[in-house]
Amino acid sequence: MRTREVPTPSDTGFGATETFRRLIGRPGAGIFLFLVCFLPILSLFAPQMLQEGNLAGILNQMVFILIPTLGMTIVIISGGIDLSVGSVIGLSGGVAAFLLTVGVPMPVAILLAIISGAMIGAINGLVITRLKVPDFVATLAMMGVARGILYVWTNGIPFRDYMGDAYYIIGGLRMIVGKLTLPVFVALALLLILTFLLRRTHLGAHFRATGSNAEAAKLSGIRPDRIKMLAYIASGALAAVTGVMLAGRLTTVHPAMGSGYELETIAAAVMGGAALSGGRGSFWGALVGALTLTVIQNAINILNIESTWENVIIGSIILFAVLIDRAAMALSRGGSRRNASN
Amino acid sequence: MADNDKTEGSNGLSRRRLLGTGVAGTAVGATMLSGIFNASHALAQEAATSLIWGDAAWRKTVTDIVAGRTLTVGFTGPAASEFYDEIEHGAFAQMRAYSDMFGVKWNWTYASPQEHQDINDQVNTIEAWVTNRYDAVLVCTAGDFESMQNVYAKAEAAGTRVFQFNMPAELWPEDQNRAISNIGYNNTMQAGYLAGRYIAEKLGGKGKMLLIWGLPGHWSTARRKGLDIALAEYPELQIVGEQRGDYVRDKALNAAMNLLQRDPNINAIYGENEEMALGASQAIQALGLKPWDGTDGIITIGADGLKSGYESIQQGQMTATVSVGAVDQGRQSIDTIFWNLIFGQVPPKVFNVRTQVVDKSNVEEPLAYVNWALSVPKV
Amino acid sequence: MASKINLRSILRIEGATVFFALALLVVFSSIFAPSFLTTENLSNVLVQSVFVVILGIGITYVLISGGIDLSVGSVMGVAAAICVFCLNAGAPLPFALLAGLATGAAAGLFNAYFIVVLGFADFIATLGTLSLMRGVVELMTANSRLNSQDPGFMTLAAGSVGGAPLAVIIALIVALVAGVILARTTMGRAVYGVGLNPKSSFLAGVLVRRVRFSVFLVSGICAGLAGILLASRLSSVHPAMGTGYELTAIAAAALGGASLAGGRGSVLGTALGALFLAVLQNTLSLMSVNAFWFQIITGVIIVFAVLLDGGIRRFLNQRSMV
Repeated sequence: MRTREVPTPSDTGFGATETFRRLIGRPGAGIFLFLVCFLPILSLFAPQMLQEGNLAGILNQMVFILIPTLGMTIVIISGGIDLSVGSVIGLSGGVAAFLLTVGVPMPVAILLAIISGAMIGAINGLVITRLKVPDFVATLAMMGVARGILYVWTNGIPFRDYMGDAYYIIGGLRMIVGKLTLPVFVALALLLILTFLLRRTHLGAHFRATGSNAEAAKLSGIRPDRIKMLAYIASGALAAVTGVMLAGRLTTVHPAMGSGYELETIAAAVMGGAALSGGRGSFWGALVGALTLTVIQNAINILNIESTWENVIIGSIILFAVLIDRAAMALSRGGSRRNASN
Repeated sequence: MADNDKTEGSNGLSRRRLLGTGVAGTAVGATMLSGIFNASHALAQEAATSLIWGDAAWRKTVTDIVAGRTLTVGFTGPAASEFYDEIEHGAFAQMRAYSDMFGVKWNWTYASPQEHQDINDQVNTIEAWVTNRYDAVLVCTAGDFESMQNVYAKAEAAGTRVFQFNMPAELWPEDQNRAISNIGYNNTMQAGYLAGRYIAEKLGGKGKMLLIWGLPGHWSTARRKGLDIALAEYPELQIVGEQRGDYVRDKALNAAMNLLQRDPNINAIYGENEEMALGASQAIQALGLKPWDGTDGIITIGADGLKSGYESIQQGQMTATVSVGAVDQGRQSIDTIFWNLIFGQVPPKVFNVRTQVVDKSNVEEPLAYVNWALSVPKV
Repeated sequence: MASKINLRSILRIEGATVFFALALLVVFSSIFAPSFLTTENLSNVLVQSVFVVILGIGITYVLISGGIDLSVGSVMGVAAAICVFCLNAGAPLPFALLAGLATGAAAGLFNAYFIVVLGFADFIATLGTLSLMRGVVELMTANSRLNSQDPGFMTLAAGSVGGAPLAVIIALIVALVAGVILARTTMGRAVYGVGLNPKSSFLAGVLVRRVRFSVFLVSGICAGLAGILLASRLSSVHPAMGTGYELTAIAAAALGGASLAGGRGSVLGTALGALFLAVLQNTLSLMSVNAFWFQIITGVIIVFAVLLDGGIRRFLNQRSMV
């Protein structure tokens, strides 16, 4: 028997080229490479960037994008999208702050705030799965409704005077291990738990199946409606966790708190490889995406780049980073380009 | 024992009785005196009130002319915030005062855009108010004078009078402004400049400072101008970093943290508004750096004059702020509207209220003033 | 054979649902909102709706083809900036207008390049251009104030022709042209085809890439026109101009029956959807509803309107013969 040895990229090869190709094709790998090359170049201009304090600072700041991105990744994998994330961050932060001002003990306040976020996620899920309203429209409407509720509740004036010592720590205004703050560890814990849940249980496969082809998923015994509900509840709960911590970090809950986070979150998720058509995405990709956005902002500040250039730079880097990601994907497929499904 | 019991004197006056009468007499005398004092104080106050502003006869004349009229006023700011709430409360106070004094009634509507600082939204709102033939609109926008001229012309034509507040009127030629009056303060010299001077004076004219700016727009432009004028006299005081905070706390917090990470040997941070300055002061604390204590540390100074800012100053977190007379702007706006609409009096095109740099040494009065305004119920 | 005019056939017309919703709203407003039915107010509302109408029409093309364009708000700003810049530099009005429209077109092509040629996902590509274009506007307005009191320029948004506001007439023309192209030409049908099933369209000979390029071009030009008109209304270009308008435009399209999955939607539906949103805002303002409630009411009503549309669709598909 003759076996022809033709080097082809395959998922089962173990040679150096195959491994490299496989790794690079993973969601977010290209962007990770981009970051890894980008940072040292930046540090030539500003050596402070690689200082321990700054690296810790980047992690401390990144958390507030990472956690909602984890939720957004789940939603995107299961074929949906959640535009209400920013408003949920604000409203749940408001719930926590308000409960604290009326004397509710801190653990209870935090729990109730997270539950409120999960409930909003459930409402999103119901409107989308039962009432068949498209994801974009439903979560867009919820974005307005939740934000409006916070405005009406605060009457336009921020909630204040709820900070206690514990909350300073929870909000990340006090370093606890070296230069790292509590939110970093919360994020790490969530990352590990969610990765475990989605890899070891069937949930991960179910999310992916629902996202790629809901009809086929149904035929395999998965209940896409239930899965989607779960995804939106998770997104709402994770946004609420962020909101609670953010309320601590900012020490006031401004009615506009969290505004704009939804687009950053989606950008981070997509940069991390989540495909909006569903079925693809990963938490480590989310980490890479969130890290990239935070590093960009950090670099702009540290290099003291003129503020008028800020948006130009952010936009260019987003495009450039995705370009690298696509090049990496193309490389992993042996050079053939594939149009992104949308 | 026996001597103390022997209180009865020969003429019936006992020491105890004397003491008792003395005490009683003093008490009565004191009460009478204080009564007289109070009465005269009250008389003095009444005299002072009637000296501050007209007497009962004048008030009656005004009331008769007002004849119980209702004035419909629309109030729109570029965003909902503590700052605009303080301005509104100043207005509430003045409206209630005029209702009490002159019997005028007020119909007050508040609006702010859903998207932060969206100008077109405010134009649409003003158009709706003009359709409803409001008596006056009180407007503050992120847009230039030019942006609003079209809708102001429409308002004029329909009979709705236009007044602006909290806009840096010094940036535009007066004749380009169609509003009847612009009640505010000079952002350049009464805010930016004062902040710069304060920093320079506290630091003895030298050091390194950071700037955290809001959204690009006329407030930033005007305050920057003033800051530059102040700093021009102190070449050894250098701006070593400036970044955007977009008027929101989290962005300012991150920007300040990153800038301080780059170089912790900073002497002062100027945040264009208090939200951002407070964010900067939190960054200082979170990094374990030292806030200004009078001789050493990092100065943080903002601008607005918020109750939360004053409380932060009292606690030593934020160093100082420029109070831009929010409450007074509200009061003065109502004053202008009232006398112009009912009596046709012509206000100045630009009316600047008093501003002041507030730090720990003088925070009691502004805080008490703001607390008073915030306690006035909504109209 | 005489066609049956019954409820079904009426409801089948694209945009029927949103038309009914709009009619309901108008009735409500006439009763409860003072001065709603005055010429002055109706004229105001029509002009107020123009920007989202035009923006929405452009986005409808993209949505029908199965894509999305988040950058339109920022493109509004850039096109307006270039237009006013030219005006201030002394260029004649027609040239400046053309320059603005060309900028919009260029932005659309820029988006299309990343999406069609480089294979980016629409969402992230237009998200990137959203920031990029916003940055360009900020750069352009940084040191020079882009204001124009040019009387010709100002008539675009403020002038009227025979009693009707010029801006509204422009919007009507755009809607007519865009609507006819979409509904009656091969190109228009190709857009629907690409949205419904890109693969079979490709096999049927449709140049899918060309279609996708074109829809972004249309979206860019519409954004440019909307930006120019907004700048005319405000006599100036503000750095934050257009922020958030993309979501409003998409909401208008969704109200009008467009789906983000592609293959559905119409110019008429979107235009009515945009009008609906403008009338809603106007009604709430006239009724002096607490400003903070606007977003809540708008959000809830959008969901109801889309529900209604979905419900009617299911009703129509129930026993209809395919």
